Amino acid sequence: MKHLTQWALLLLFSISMSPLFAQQKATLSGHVKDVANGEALIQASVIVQETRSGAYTNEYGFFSLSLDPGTYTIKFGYLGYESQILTVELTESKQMEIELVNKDVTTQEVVISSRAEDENVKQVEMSTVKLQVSELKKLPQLLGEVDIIRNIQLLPGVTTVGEGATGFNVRGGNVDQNLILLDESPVYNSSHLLGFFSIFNADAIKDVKLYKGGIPANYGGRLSSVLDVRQKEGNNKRFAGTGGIGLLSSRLTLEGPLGSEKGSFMVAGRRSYMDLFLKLSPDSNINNNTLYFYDLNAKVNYQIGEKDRLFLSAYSGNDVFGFQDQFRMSWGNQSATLRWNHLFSDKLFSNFTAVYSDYRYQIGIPESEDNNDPFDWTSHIINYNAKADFGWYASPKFTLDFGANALLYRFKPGDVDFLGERTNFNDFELEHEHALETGVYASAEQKVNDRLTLRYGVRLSAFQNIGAGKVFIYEEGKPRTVANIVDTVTYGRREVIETFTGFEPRFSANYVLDDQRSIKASYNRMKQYIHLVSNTTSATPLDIWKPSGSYVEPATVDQIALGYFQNFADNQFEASVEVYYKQFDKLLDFKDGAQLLFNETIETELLSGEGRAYGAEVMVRKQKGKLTGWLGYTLSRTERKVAGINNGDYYPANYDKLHDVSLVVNYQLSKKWDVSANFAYMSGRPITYPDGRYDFDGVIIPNYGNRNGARTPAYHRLDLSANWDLSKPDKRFKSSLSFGAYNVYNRRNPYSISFRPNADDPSITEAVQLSIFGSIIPSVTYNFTF
Amino acid sequence: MKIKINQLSALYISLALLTLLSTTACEDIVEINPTNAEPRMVVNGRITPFQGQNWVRLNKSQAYFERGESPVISGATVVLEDDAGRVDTLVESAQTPGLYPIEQPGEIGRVYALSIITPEGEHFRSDPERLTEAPPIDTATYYVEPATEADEEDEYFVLLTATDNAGTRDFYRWRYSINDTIVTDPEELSFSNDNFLDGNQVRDFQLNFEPFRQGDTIRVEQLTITEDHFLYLNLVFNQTAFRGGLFDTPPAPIRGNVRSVDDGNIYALGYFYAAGMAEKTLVME
Repeated sequence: MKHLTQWALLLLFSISMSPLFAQQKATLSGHVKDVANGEALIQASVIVQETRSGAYTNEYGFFSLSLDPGTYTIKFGYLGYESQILTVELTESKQMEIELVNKDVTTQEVVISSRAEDENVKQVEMSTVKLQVSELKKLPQLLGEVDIIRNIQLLPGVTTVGEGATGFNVRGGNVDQNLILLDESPVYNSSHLLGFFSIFNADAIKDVKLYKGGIPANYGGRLSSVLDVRQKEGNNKRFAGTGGIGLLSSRLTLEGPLGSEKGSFMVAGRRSYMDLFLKLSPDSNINNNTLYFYDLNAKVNYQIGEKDRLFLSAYSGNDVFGFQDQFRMSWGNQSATLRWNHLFSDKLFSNFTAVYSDYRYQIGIPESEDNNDPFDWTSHIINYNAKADFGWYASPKFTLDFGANALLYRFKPGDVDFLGERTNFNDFELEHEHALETGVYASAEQKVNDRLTLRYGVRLSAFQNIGAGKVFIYEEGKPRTVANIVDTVTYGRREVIETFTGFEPRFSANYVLDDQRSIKASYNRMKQYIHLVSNTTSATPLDIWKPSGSYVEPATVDQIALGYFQNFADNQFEASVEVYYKQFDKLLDFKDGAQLLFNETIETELLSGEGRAYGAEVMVRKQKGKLTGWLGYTLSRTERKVAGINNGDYYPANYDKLHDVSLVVNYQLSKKWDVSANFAYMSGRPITYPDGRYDFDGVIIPNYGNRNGARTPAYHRLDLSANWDLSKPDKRFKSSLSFGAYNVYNRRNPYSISFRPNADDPSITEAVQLSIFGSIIPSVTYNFTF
Repeated sequence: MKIKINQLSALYISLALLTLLSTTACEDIVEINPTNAEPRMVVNGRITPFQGQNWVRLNKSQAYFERGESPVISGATVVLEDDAGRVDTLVESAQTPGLYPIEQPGEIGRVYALSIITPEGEHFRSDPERLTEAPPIDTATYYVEPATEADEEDEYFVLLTATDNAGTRDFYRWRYSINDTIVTDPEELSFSNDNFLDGNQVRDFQLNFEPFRQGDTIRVEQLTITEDHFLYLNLVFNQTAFRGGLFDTPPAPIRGNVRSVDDGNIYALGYFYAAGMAEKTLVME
């Protein structure tokens, strides 16, 4: 911890020195916003025509540019918005609030990406993708639910084990290696209905950004990606609403100003209603079931004076499933984030964040006459995070981000109460675990010259597994089994059980060849201190997370990526080719047949392995015009190596897919109609075939050979949709109908192939392919705004 | 106790999914051509304190899609040993080739091991298995779910009550036959540890999922097994009863407890177990 403090001091020192070399300059700072609703525009460009220098706005729409005093022509630009060119006489530091007009409102032109026009080429950032919700809303969606995670899976470098599987895999990373942030609060399970839908209500979301590589130093704690989802701030100009009625769910978002444009609020709700359909069934086996999910999002923000702004956001979501009166299950995330933006000066932007989050699940058999052993089983992961982030805009050529955070974890992996009076079982509670993860970081962005921009930084992280707790000691040199426990060490409250530290350098470079072309490179090292304990094909909501500690080491990944970026035809087309290589170390793996739930000695089931992933990603994206969309292609390999599995040789990971093609297009037919299509093709996923069969006590057992030595047939699917704008001109109330069809040509894509004896004649064995969707799934959704 | 809690939850998740997917998901029988491995020895053997209930059966593994019975291994030298110096060379049954009955029953507290020399001269040995006394089956009853439709039959379910030994880590298995035919459906594999019920009397836990019919004679064995046997069963259960969904665990070769004396990495399939036993027979009337 000591060197972390030194780092922080050094940073503060360098900031306090800043006036020394910036004295004669004047600073132009402010925010760029959408004129219609006051939403901050993230990564809008602020270009000084005379000096050809510029800046991009940060996550809060803030920018700051230090210039010699003089008169400048400044262009504020944001893709899809009318640019604004202002002449600014800068004699002393000045603040400006810029409001841009969305072109969609004024012209027929459709623009789908939320960022500066030439960002693809000019920004040092690589391996990142931004998605705009308004773009996604036009695309075909399963059952008409606009699903951010499902759409992310259409991007190069992102795969999934199969339809309906929880989460996503980025560049060979496991599902637990994605840092999913909803207004900076960590999300442990991003799925509804076990993976079919995600928890993000598209109407409440403003901005989605996925980092696959070159991850900036302000993020830490996961190996493979950051999915940064930001909720809408709310319209500060007028009261407004957005909503929709779909086959699966309905949703309503309300937003409006608080105190004369000083602040705004947003509340959103969504609930599914499959259970209402279940009730209609005459079959009592079905109409007694419960099955629904809901999401509630809320956010308020308020400007206090010129330098301060507060944001408070909250999310609550839940899935509830009940099987007649025999079984109950629910899971969900709850979180709250308080943020305070403060301008220490027009060059030093700061944001302080406090986060509380709780991921919880509950399973039980309710008390009733028929149920012999009713029980209630709950599990929690509770997080408290405190964070301070600073952005220092020293000059147009040099900016520095730095900050620190402390994240406290409380893991309550399982608590079972048996409820009945004459229950057969004893109550049971798994030991709680506590951990503190701290980090400090600094990241500088430097424009070395007109062509070369560098971003370099480091994150220093520390992780402490703390008491109270007990650690079993196993006999040395013997396999780690319950029988070989020789001692138990008990740690007191707040006593440190184990400490880990990490040095995580981050580096990116952009070399601009000309206005339309650039070459980028990046390197990052990431550390992950908490691990999902799951050995099933698709993670379940019941999986627990395990902090690093006495028997679990932190995992590390090193990633290098190289890319070529080019824009065509007046920035209408953005193209990129990237190659990456990742080396993983100390990945958690599991013994065959591991018992992972309710295991006090879970370390006896764990293995540690390495992994590697490499590939090439090509993406061509068209952002403007009647035809928009993207074409992505990924050629990749993801492999694991674990002593004790597959003779210790490298084997393909479950989500390894050699080829992955996706085509996403939207075409504006007329003022009233637009049509969209998705096409996805992926190589089959690895599975294990039996190399023989035998019996044990008459039970026929397939003998599985090489782990993941075979593959399912390839996956491909086409989805179509059409959107019909029903709005009347000059009316505030606007509405549209979306018609969709998922899996248009009834492809039965294999999810798994399993092996079993024939039900009628057990001496005949057969292979059974499971397809999650065996047919076309139509949908219709009604959307409105006012 | 019929199944462990984690299997129960997983089962219900699957049920949830099935409800959800019943309209869209589908299963197809597909043709695949896996690479077949060389046949290997399969050992099925057990020793209990009951006369006439103990045997060793040797077979060869088959290609996965091969039709018909698996080939037997005849003419092997099979020797049962215990920690009290018993060395018992088993005589192959004349009527059933590949079956090597054990004449003398096992004793509680003894540790047993099997030694096999195949006709090809390869020498295998099992890990030692301790025979632990089984608690009695306190009661065995059944209940009837009357048929609701005319063309259905009444469904019978057997309920057992038994008491766990307090203070020891115990592992149990229930093995049963219907009209003298042993049940081999993997979903009916029934085994438990005593993690949640140490020392308790466990009342009226259900033996069978698949209903029995009127007139069936059910014979239940309550076996006290070793931890190794329990873990083996767990792997078998996971890889047979529990496949083909979203939440499969990775399939892997299941190592039993019989391996080559010369090379520990070469192992036979199957398992040889020693178990204490209590039994009950009842008729579904």
